[in-house]
Amino acid sequence: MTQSDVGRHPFKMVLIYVILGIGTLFYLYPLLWLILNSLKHTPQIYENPWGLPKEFIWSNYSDAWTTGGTGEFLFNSILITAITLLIVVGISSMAAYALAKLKWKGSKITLGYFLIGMMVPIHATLIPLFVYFSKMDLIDSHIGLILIYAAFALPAAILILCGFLMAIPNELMEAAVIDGCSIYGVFWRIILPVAKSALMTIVIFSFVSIWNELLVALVFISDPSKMTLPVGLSNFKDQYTTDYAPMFAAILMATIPTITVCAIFSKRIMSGMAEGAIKG
Amino acid sequence: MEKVLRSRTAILFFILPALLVYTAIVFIPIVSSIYFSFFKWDVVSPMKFIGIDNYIRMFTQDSVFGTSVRNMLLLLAVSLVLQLGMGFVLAVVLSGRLRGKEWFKNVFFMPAVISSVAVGMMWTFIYDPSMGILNELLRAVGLESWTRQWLSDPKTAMWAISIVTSWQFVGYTMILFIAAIQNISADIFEAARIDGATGWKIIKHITIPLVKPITQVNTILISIGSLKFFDLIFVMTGGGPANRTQVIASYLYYRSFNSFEYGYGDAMAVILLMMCLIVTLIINKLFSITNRDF
Repeated sequence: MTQSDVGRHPFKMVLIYVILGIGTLFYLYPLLWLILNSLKHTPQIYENPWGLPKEFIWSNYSDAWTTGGTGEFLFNSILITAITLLIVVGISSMAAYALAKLKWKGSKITLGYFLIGMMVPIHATLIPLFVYFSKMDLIDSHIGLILIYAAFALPAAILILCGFLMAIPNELMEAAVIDGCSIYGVFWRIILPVAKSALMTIVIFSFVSIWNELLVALVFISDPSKMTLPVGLSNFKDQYTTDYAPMFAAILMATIPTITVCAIFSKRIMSGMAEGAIKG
Repeated sequence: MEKVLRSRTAILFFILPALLVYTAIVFIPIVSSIYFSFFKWDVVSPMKFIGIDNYIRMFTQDSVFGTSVRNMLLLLAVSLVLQLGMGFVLAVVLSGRLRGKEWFKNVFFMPAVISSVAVGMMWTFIYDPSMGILNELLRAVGLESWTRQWLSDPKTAMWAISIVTSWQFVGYTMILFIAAIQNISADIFEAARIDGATGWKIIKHITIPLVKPITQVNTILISIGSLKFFDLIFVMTGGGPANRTQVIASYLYYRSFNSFEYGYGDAMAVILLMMCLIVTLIINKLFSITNRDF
């Protein structure tokens, strides 16, 4: 206890745990309620929203997975997020290398130009992008979505990487060049390996926002077979207006993978999200 | 070495991909948005230059836009109070020596990484008038008269949604505060304790001033988040009842992609963009003024 003197008095400790316990209930009960009700028949939810299911209706899950399309949405989301992250990591580290390590006039202005993008809300670009993408046949296309997500993840990624690269000394690069490494080789053999932790931060930080993005996906995707999880899920509301149980199952199937991944890598994710926000 | 680092082809090779993607997807559309905002343009009529009429309409004739701004401000106020307040308190408690603190951190942080769509749908059921937990709970403790249709009653709908977003993101605010508190050197706390400072005094004179840069980051994140707020509105109320829960982003969306008024939608987008820039500048300014006190 170096930081505050919480924990010195037993009474205070009990009070703190009681409050934290109530807080936990406030956070976990909704999830539990959802799990219990996802296993009931819809009429039973109305009759008895609080109790345990009389029998477990696992078919709610298979309904949501196949007829509801959750499986397909999940696949689309994984595909889009993975490709976007690859692009972001690739081109942002290239750009950061050029901006932080290579010497050219205008590198500062170019960095500033990228940083303006951090303050731009994605909403302000939707209509022009929609109009242009319609002409280029990029509506209802994963490529269109990936391009937008990548572009908007770039400014923060470049800023984080530039800060990181500027802090590492040039000796390493110089030594490599003397050993006959080309400027491209330096990027591949020195910069990328050294920047691993910064790249990890970028991946985590961008993953959460891309995986959960709704507005852009809503505007650009209307074909159900192309939908990402957030759009597909929000679509359920209209599809299953009265049949709630499969909807509950779908919500759970959409969130449990994220929760599991987060629970396993919680430390890394929390620090990544914090670093991303502070440096971004 | 110098010469190698000045190779023009290499510089172009490394910078161009990012530059092209960013210019095409972020920069050009922003400029286009500003340009389109001076036109009357929708699906039925061709583009027609109308000067600043879209802006005049937004601020003087369109009452829904006014409602959207007011709702955004309510959301912002609730989020600032709840997230900064609760986030800080939780951070102080959970950065101390406490058994099980990692578990509590995880629990409170969890909703911040799951999609707002799922969170919104879950809370729609919590607020549901007939089977929702909230009304059931009120009935169970004898507060029958407090039960209501939380999301379709214009008096409560916006509050109900604001609470959900604070519930979702308070853990995020907390994590940032924890990172800041852990950065404070243990010696400072030790010295204060030797000088006889206790609990509140330490928090007031050491923790709060020293986490100020993070308070600034949190304030900006919450403010920009409120300006861009869309997902929960879309999922929980669709802006209803009768546009009473519209916020700027949702109203912009419905105008642009439901009634296809591109010119008007772009004018709103431009105002939103300017608000984001101005809010960031104001907050940075405010914090730099108060920094002189310390």
